[in-house]
Amino acid sequence: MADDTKSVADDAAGTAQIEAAIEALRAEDHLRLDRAGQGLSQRSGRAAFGWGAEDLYQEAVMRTYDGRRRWCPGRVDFVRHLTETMRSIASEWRAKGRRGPVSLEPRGEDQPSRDPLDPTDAETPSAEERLLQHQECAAQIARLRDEFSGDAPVEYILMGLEDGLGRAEIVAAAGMTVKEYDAARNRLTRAASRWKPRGGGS
Amino acid sequence: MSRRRSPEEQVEALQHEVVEVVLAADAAALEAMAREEGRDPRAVAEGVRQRLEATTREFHARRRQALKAQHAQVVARLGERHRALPATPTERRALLGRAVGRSRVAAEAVTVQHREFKELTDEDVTSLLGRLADLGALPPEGDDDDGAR
Repeated sequence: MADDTKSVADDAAGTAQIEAAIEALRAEDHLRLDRAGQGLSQRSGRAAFGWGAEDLYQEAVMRTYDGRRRWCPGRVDFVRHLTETMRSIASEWRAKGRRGPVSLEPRGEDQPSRDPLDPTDAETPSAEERLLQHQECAAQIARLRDEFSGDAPVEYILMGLEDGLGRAEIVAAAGMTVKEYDAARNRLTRAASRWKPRGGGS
Repeated sequence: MSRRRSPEEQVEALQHEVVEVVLAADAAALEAMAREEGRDPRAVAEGVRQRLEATTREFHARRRQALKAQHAQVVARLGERHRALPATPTERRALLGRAVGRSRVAAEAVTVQHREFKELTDEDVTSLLGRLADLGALPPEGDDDDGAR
């Protein structure tokens, strides 16, 4: 039986354990991280905007190492930990209106460098950035609606996303099977991964 | 009753689904997805592996740099402390006397461990001065006033 009195800090992996977990990742796990990154990235054709898959998984690993995100091996699988962390980072960057690349790679002179370890390295989005973000999200949803017009299962999922419904509710409301739902969700998420904001596409 | 989500919230929810799909996908499906995009799955996986390796190296380099900076700070602080201490035992004892006269913290530090000031050995004096220096309880250099009223 799990000891609920133990804190997350007690269970969190140390540097050596994290390093071992990274070394133990299989090729399919690397593909999983890339795929998740592609789906969560927001990079346009112009490199000065947005972030790519590699920014997300590198940042997730860095935050795990430096303790900003704790990984508890007994509670969650390492790949799930990383992908959830990537999702959280993408959400955070989107909310902050962060538009510059954050990769650990060296940058050109025209691209100011950012320090992912610096907690002060965060911007409050301006009203203009928030508006732009809103428009980009609206455009993404509109484009998906367009692309899947006539594909009833995906249309139901999109409606469910808008109404805040979960899988069980969508399945029940649409009268489809779980298998049909999963297949439709796969089509939708693949298309979402292909979409890049601001008319880009790297 | 649920309310309509904003486009931002819908994208958030969609991204949650992206992660779930990726986690549920098997190796064959992941490879197929890469090929669909005209990418070689093996090259993609190798690229991710190399970047993660680079991130690990980067983390260790940053940590070494942070530890080095921390060490330099400690060394500098110790250097200042020793420079601040007078050269002879008599001068050090006098400095402690001035500190005790000026600072309640210093007075308590001495009386807690030693009943009488005069019972202190030279080593006790040096050790106490070091600890008082850490606490910032030593009189500034050049201040010979013993604080007695």
